Amino acid sequence: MRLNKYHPPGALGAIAIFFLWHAATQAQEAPVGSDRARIIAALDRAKLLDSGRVLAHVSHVCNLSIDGKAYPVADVRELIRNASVARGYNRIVVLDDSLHVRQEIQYGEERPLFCDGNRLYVYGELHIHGEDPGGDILVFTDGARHIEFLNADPNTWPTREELEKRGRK
Amino acid sequence: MSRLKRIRALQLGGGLELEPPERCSLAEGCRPVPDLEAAKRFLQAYVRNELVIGRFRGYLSTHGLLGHGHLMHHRGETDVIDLMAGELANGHLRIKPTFDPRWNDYDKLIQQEVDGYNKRLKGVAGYTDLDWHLVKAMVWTEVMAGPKDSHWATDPMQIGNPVDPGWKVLRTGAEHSDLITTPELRKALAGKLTGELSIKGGIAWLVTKAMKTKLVTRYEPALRNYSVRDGDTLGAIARREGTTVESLAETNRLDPNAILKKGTQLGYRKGSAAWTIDGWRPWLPDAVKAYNGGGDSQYVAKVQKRLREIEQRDASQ
Repeated sequence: MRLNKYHPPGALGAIAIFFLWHAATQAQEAPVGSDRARIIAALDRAKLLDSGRVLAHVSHVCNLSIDGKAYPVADVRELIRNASVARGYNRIVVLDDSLHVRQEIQYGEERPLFCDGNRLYVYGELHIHGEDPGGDILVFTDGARHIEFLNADPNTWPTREELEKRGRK
Repeated sequence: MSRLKRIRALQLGGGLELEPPERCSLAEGCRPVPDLEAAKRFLQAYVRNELVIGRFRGYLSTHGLLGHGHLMHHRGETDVIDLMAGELANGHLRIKPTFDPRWNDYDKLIQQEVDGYNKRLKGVAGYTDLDWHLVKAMVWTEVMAGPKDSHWATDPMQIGNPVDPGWKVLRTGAEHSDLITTPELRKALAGKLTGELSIKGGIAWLVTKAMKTKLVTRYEPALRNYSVRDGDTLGAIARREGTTVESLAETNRLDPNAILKKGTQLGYRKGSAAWTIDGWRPWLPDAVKAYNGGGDSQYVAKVQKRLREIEQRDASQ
């Protein structure tokens, strides 16, 4: 049975174009720096890691989108070696699309959750070095060099459906 | 000297206490042990019940002592006890926690340091006194095995590790810690780590973690004049003249986004921005939690447990 017997002329071409388009958009949507090893290498290059600490966790949380560019956000947690009670050194690290470090934000029990455009939502109220104001939404501008804080009831945060919808646009 | 007195005399450095056999009851932890093997079995059973023995020193002697050592929980915690002794002659063994007084080694220093901060920061942005017992509880938490651990003498607050971000921050005065530390302490922190320095640095880090800060602009009293140039905005003037848009707008009753006419005379005060203490987080749990840096999710609970132990011990004395 020949496939083209059941398709009008040009259908295979259309399918091929669809797959090419799909592959291209998938590649575009693939998060920059989602490769854990690449992020660790980038953190090493920036001398953010130290062998005197145990790298307990590294993950790519999401990508911020600032002025059309992607800025990967990494969650990095280290433990101080030889401490009799575990001492933590946790950081949210924002990289640029070349994986150069743009921001290093220390946190304790807060957690980076997800991105929506140039906003990073975090669990808990985050303060940088105890500075006021703090907040649970970090708004990044100027190539992630500048941060402002917002406070919002998590009930008003965007839903997963809304985020997916915005992500498709 | 009676047998009991002789045994008590052995407890220099703590760790040994013996009750007269007639006061020993099952409810209090006393168990009949007909012989040494039975005593050992009993101890092993006691130890298996969530505890393991660390550094159990044989102490058998003609005094009839079974032994002493210290107990360590499976979870890594150490009870602040040295294991009891038992008198086998009357066929009883008593489990009774006793206390090594070296656990109090740093009391005086902690009190001095904490008093210093409490005096210095009294009235600053609603400061509430730090209880020195909390710091003691943190030391007890940080060095679980206490005086028997090598960290006890060198780094009892576990902050002196060169790769610990807190140590570097304190030394350099970064992250507004210079609002808490003195130049003398910063200089000392660059030197050799000692137990005393670790206590001082640890307390400074705890107070730093309790502090909230805010960027505040202070203005000179003198009013200066400025003649608007072509293309000026309040922002541009503020940057150039060392003041702020808010001050320019308020002094001249202008909208911050106002379009300025060339030659307009504006009044302004030079200002400089500096980080200042704006308030305080509660010592427990916030500051203690921040001290740990999120490394141990049970850290606050552990410190609270130690604090209760210290309070109970103080109350019983």
